[in-house]
Amino acid sequence: MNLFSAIFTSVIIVVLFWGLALFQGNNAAAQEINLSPSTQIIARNKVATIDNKSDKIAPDTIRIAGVRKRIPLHNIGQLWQHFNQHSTLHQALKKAPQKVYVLYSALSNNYQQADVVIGYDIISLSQFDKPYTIDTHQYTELLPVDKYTETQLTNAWKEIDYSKKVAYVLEVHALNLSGKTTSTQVFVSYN
Amino acid sequence: MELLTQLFTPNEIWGLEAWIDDWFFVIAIGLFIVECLRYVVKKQFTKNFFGDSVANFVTLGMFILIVAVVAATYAGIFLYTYNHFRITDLPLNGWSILCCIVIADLAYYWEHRFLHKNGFGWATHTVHHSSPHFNISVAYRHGPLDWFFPLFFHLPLALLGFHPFIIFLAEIVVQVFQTLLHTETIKKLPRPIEAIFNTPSHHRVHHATNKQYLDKNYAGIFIIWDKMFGTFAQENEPVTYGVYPRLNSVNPLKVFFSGYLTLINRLWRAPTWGYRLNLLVKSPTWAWQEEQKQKK
Repeated sequence: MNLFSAIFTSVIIVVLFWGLALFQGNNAAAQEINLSPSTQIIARNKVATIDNKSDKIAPDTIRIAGVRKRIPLHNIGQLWQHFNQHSTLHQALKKAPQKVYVLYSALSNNYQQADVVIGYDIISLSQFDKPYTIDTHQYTELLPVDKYTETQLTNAWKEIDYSKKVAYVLEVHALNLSGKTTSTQVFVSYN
Repeated sequence: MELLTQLFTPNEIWGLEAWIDDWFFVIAIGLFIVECLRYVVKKQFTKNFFGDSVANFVTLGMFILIVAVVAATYAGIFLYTYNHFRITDLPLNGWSILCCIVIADLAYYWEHRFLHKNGFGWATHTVHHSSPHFNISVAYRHGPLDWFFPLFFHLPLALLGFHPFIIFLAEIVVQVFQTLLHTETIKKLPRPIEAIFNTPSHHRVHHATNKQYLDKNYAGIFIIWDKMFGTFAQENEPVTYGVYPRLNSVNPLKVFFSGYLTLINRLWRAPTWGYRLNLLVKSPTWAWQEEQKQKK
């Protein structure tokens, strides 16, 4: 085989195996997502204080408003920082919030990127831009209400059934009087 | 199937790569000791064999020192390319790793063929070939720029969407597989294996200076690339190892820098600029033949 034919054949082989990798489907199991624990803690500490009695999310839909960005998941700390510094959002709070929601949707095939929203339920806001609706009709609880370490939270992603198409992953952080997270729930919804 | 679809974090893949790299070296040392004992029994364990083997591991040490300096830049180029220019997102799972290994093996074939076909690449790769012996320690006989050329042949995989750590893992798998091929202990493996995979027999041919074996069997894991592209030769007669001109030294420094010293010497003595260019871009066989003509 001459050099040109050999190179041409090689290109075809590369495309073939790349195609196999590309169209392997969504049959993946779990992946630990590299969150930035320190920044999350800052965020949880910063939100205002209120007595928190509710520890389950509402059964139907939730509309949240806050900061939203498509980011590599390991950069989520930057989004928390943005959320913390969003004074307009915090000033719009009718009273100190009970929960902070973190929504991961439109996850990339390699689960390295997602559209992430960090925000409050719009019920607790006097004004807001572009609320994001979360359909909570069908979801699976990955972590029940409890206090978790960051490692436990990230390990929860390993419980996702990646053979199904993931619609979103939702973290719900409940806050105590001092604004610290008292408990967290993690949910996954499939398409 | 679950093993193929289970997702890994980049750190897990990095850990797997480091684990393979480190532990395989331990295994290789063990196999090398077995080989040495075999040569002792056969009364072929000579002073030159010992010196050559020591030189091989010293070149490995020098190579590791260079890699330690350039590794961050090398990895950075892959990560930057992947983060900014990849055209797809491929999951970090076993299936992607398998596909990447096949493509990386093909990329290795072309890189290896490239190194044999131009003076600049050969100047580093000749170090690996310059030993007159053939054992596992030869697999660790590296040249100073052995880290440089893989960059160009494997970087496109990052563009395709393979995570850099998967690419590095695939490169390691290809390298580790080949390490085991550097032995005279195993003659021939069963025919189906010889037909598909690179084997000690095929790789002995690659290291040969026998005329009919020159520039043959570039494969890493799959010998089918050579069979497809017309660069395959079967081991039919005893092999003599080494390079022309012969190095005749077990001095590690001389071994490590011999390729580029020879190239610089040839460039210095070249009659014309055109000849100098040819020394860089044409195959080392051309340079050798030209020198033989001039001697006549």
